[in-house]
Amino acid sequence: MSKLSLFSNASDLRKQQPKLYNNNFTDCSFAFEFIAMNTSSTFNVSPEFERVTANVGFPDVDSVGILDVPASNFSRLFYIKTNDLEFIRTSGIGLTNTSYGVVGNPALSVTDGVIPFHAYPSNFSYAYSKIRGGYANPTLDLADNTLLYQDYVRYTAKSITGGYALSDIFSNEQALLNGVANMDPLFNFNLSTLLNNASGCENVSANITPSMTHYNFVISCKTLVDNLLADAVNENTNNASSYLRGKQFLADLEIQSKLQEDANYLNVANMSNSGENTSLVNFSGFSTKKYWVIFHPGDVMAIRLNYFPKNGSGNKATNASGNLGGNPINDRSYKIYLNMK
Amino acid sequence: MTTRTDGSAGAAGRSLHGLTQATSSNQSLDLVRDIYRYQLLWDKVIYSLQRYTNLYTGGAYSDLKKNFTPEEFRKLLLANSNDFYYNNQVDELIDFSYNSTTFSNYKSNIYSIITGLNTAVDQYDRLNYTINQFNEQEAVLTNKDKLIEYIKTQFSDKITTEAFYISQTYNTDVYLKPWFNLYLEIYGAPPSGVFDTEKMAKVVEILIKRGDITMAQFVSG
Repeated sequence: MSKLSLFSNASDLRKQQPKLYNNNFTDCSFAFEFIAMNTSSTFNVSPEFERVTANVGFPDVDSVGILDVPASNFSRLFYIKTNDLEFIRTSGIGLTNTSYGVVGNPALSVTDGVIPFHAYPSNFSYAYSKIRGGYANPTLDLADNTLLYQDYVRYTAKSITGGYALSDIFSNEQALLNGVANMDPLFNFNLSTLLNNASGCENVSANITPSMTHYNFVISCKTLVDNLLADAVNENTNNASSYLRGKQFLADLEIQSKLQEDANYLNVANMSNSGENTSLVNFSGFSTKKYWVIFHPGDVMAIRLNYFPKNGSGNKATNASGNLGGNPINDRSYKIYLNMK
Repeated sequence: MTTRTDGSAGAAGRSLHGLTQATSSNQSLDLVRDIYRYQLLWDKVIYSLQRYTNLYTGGAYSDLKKNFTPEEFRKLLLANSNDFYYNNQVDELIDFSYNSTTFSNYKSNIYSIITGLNTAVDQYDRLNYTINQFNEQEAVLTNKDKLIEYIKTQFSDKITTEAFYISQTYNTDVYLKPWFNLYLEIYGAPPSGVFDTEKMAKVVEILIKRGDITMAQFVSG
């Protein structure tokens, strides 16, 4: 029985969560759920953003998985710009003229952003996420020993048969398992594309409204920063690790500030020595006081992946030979916790 | 069995309520008596038992409980006693009429038992899963701190929204093994996901006769 000790925690996490929360499930300090993007299954129409109505996390999902990823991949994703870091550090709130942005681009004087989904040497392999709740087949033998690609094929078997959830009913079992893994590059590509499209978007608090372009990305950044700041100044005596994470965020800002000062000094020194403006980095003025949200091992970022059956959700399974029984197959959604290492 | 097993004098065919049986040997007579007993066992015990087994394999647990009463249990217990099978009536083959469906009845019952075993394994898995969930949720309900944390996590600060996610179509074609494919074609999906063993056996027989699969292929899965 002990091997299923995390079952209820993981099952609970299938439900919609607050946007940023502590949890015992991943043994991490934070889990942050993006609230950004949606795209169609065919990928040939423009992304839709209109359905986000509030600054919160995902709706319920069918299953929860966890995938280890390098924390460094995500430390050039969200940033803020502010000219009064000291106020933020002491008050724990952002100034009204603090800007929030994602990835960035040269037009925003932010050139070192990195899209995490194509920076990883071989992309993220979502198919190999370890399932922790909402198993298609919850038998003891398989629980705690199921990867996403296995779970999805078992789910397909369960849908077709009405209950029998083992992939050994398929004559092309290996092809089906490979088929799930083959979707990973497309997931990464589309995530990257959407982030790339949003990389020109940045705004101050007052102007972050649902009507703005790429609102979901920018509000994601603001939500994350607001919660980290709030955590930093509101010590929860019942949860030391949470408080420490907020403090770590402030320390990261401080380090970046120092680096900027040093760089600025070097830049000025260069100018005085050579007599020319190298324009490497211009730190004078508000627009260039930029700070990345640094992710650390133990942080968790959640994304939601939806697997649609070939014939569309809710339709009967078929192949070239005809119908396979008559039971419908619905889409299956996974909340994947990207567990920073 | 009509072959004489010895050359005893007086051996002759004898009509046993329509059945012509060589009774020149005690062994042959014993065989007939055993057939009689198998038929009695079917009529008095297994026929009823199969009805209950079918309720179990079909997931009709409420009906099973309703029908398989303690009284029924006691009746079956008594009906299986030796007194019913080893008595003068059986020895003398009184009221014995050969029922040619006896063997197929037993065969069918075997399938029912096998399906029941599959159901039992499935129920075991479900039960374990449920027990684990129960234990962990009980741990939350009986611990104040855990309960507060649970309520905070589950019921605070939530508004329905579409979230950051990617949808993608799974384009790999699905092909079932021939026996699953034909089963679904003929009988449709099994209730509660447990395939009926007798139906599956028929399907396999068809496939083997057609030459679509071999026994070895079926056994290896």
